[in-house]
Amino acid sequence: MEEIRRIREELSKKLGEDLEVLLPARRYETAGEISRRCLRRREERLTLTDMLDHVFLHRALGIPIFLALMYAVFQFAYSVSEPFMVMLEAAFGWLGSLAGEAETPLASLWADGICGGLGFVLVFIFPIFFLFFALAILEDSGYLPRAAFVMDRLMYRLGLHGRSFIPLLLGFGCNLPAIMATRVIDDERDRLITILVNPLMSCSARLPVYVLLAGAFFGAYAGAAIFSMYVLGIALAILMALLFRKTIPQLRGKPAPFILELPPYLRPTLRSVLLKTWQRGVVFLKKAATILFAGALALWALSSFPWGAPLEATYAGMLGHALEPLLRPLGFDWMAAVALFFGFLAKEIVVETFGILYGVAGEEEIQAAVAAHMTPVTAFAFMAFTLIYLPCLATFGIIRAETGSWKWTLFAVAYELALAYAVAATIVAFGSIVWG
Amino acid sequence: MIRVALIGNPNVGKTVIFNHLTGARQYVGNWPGVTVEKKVGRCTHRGVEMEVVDLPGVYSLTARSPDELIARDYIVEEKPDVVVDIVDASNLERNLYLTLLLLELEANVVVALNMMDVAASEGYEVDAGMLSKLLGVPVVPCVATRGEGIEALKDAIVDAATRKERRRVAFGFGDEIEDAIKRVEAVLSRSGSEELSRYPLRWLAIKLLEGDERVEALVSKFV
Amino acid sequence: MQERREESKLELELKGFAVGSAVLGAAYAALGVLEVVSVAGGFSFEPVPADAAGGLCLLVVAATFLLGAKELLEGRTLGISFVVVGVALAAVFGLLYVLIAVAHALMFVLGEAEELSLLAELRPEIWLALAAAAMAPYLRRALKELRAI
Repeated sequence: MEEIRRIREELSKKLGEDLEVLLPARRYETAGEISRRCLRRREERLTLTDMLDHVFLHRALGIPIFLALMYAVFQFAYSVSEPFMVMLEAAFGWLGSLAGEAETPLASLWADGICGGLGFVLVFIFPIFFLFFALAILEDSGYLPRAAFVMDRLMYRLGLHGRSFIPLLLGFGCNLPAIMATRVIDDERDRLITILVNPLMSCSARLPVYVLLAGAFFGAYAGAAIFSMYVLGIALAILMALLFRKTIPQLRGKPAPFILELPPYLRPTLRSVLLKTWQRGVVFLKKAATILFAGALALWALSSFPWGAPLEATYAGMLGHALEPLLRPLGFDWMAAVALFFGFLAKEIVVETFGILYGVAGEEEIQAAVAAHMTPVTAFAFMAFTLIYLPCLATFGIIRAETGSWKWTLFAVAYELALAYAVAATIVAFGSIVWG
Repeated sequence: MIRVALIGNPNVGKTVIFNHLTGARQYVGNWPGVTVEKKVGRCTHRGVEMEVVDLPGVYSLTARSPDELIARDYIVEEKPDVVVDIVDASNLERNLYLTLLLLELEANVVVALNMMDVAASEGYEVDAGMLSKLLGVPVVPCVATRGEGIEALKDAIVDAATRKERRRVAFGFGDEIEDAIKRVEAVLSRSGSEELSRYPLRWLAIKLLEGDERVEALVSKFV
Repeated sequence: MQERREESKLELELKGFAVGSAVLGAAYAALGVLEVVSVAGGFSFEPVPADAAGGLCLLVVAATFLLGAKELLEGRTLGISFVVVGVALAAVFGLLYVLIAVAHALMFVLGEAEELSLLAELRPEIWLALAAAAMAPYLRRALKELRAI
């Protein structure tokens, strides 16, 4: 066996390449040679698929085009949905005012809990549906597998498995099906890494948080600020995957080479795009009817009782003040602490919490109220923190189910908390140097 | 009775061919130890009884994925009389990769060149005769969705199972690698192990150079 | 003889696309640079906004057109693919900013925005897209001749 290993190493050194890659490559060459000799093209003809692939898979231009298209997608989801959100918000405001002044618990429950909390989250149905609509167009046209292909070249060089990009991309919608989709990855190690970093891909539940804060602080740059969160998520996912691969003994090794099918491009049909949008968006509505509704009730109760006490003296206030010292270094106040605490149930609850807390406190415009409690730097840090800090409860469950191990599940939670804290602290430190 | 295994990339019409070959005479079980479906069917052609096993759809035969291991172990350990490799004519290059791996395993391969209609509609013409010559194995063009070529495929299976002489075509990896393969082969045959002689020598050598974990574990018991 | 003349006609057409693509690429590059530089310099003159990310997107479109011009001038027919994708990207960004302009107008009507400047809404992405769209019918005809569509 020693001798065989020696022969292998000698050969590998002589050829300057890994035999695990080189031998299959030679086989592909042979296959290509045979296929060329057996194939005749009846007519020399350019197909539209050939042409589009020539550009979308271009060595230098492939990734920039992908990023530009993603930027367009997020601009679309944010900027174009704005007036619709304003209209729905006004509708909920009107509904809330029907109960009159919020002086009794019941009136307060209606105005602050239901309309101010749940209603405030429901407003974000527009950016979420717009995002899914744009992604469905890219998917149905056949572009997404190309995006995976160009990213694969980059990721393989970084030591990541290319097939993990599609599950990562799916994470933009929801991490739950995305983690289930990692089953397409054959190699256990590649799969585990993809599961661990998947929550870093910014799912649509985090979009409301970005939209709220970016709208309040970044004005004309709101779209760019939101886009930056998605890019930050991708970059961190790649970095973390690389780090795990290099440092954790169970995950060490090289990614397996893979074959990706590139289907021909198709003109997307409106019917299929709308169907996909609806199927994915309806998950948000179901969530609103269940966990977000329950969350709104619980948060309203916590922030309204003991009845008549000032907000800071309610149960929510006590909880927030207990957590605040942990987050003080990042510039987050006790309300942000409460929001993050309950955000573990579902990340939309972060926004719901702001709606209810400020509503109970009696502040009218939530965006203005948020702006009074944060600076642009802490808001950006808060967005990043929300992006990274924890997988939501449902994602936590699916990580446990798919890895089959508590150890890896808790590891995912621990590293994300630490990473979120580190990134937010870096943003705050950097921000305070640049803007004093 | 001759034992036939069906193999091919995913989405090449393997199931359709399996159904054509076996008709209603199939039963479904699981591969031992894993929850991958195992389909077996029977048929009689020209008075010869055949048992057809449907192997999982795979792109290659590494030790990395359960599907690929099932397929590989079946061919290596059970040594079916004929391995029918279903090749998508409209995607020849990628499909031939698996064919080359099967030839390395020294399986008794019959190529079913399926989806000839798709290739034609994409403007390609595939020369089955040339392919057969280059690979050194029988090649049967078919369009499984229309049932074309199935009878010819059955003929080819029976012929291949009864044929004594086998043409051997080895595909080279280039001088340096071939040299290393020879040296590994020499080390292996020096061991004189009974157990190892059950496997194709050249295949063992190639897998060892590629660093295949399973073959390494197997060989290290004897060398 | 007949066939050769047709071929040279096609070649001439491809050269035409090379020129058109180069001009569009230069225009996109100039405005992209302007949008990025105005952020760094802290100035902007309407309707060219100071928008770094938007400017970078314009530069991607510019690179697409310029690569197309380069390949076509080298006599590579496949270079026309860049022109096709360039026009498509131009259309995507043009449409995006038209939609955003409509959204801004709606916000104004709803009383959520204090002012609405038509000049500021007519971003370069929109009029550049119109220029690129002018090439579309010719492109379509050329692709038919190449039998790609």
